[in-house]
Amino acid sequence: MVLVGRCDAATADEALRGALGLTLRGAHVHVVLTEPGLAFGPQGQRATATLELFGHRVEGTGAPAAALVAADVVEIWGEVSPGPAGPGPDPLTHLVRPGRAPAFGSPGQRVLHLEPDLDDARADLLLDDLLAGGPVAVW
Amino acid sequence: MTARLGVVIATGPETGDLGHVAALAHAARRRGIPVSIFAMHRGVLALAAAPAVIAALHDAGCDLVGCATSADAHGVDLAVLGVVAGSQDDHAAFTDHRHRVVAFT
Repeated sequence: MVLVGRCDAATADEALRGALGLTLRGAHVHVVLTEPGLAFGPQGQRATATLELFGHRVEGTGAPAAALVAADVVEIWGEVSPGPAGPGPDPLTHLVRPGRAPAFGSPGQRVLHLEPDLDDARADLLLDDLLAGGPVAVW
Repeated sequence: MTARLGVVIATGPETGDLGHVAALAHAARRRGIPVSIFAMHRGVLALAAAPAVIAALHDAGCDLVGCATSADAHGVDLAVLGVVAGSQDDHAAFTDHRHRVVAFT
């Protein structure tokens, strides 16, 4: 699952190139472009066309929270605007950078916060939580 | 369930994400969990800006691969850092659904 939020065209291109890369060992990829009118260049256009040619979904503003329920692996590129919660509950874990917040979530999902400086003890606890949960969405 | 920690970093040094990547990677290695880190886009710049962090990750036994396309685009010499120049195939391998994947993208 690849969410592409508000970002510059170069980053959007790389998100789509990376999404295509994720398919190289047989994974099915679902890309959601969460921001209307997101600009990307020829590289992104080629990646999108190739993804669609091989049956992967690339869609505009859809229901990313609902789509995340089925994800095994999550990549979030750029800034995703807050949206409605998903159907939940599901095992997704939200890992939140300092000063950030999940754009959406579902009841029962685990939310973990990264501190600016992560010491060994805190990193050990965080890792335990990440391993105990489900797929991880980094915000 | 988790055989490996797979990490993707695609953000630049200004974000501080590499520090979090390194902290989680070292935590995993302390538990004997293999770690694979794939850098692409501005993530290769984050690697280039922190050679000591990269050396420590190597010392801990982490696998580090940088996207050669991104490195070329940003003028980063991965070999100088001791980072393997790889491809999107490594991206796919490191994010296998059997691993716990954390993507700082």
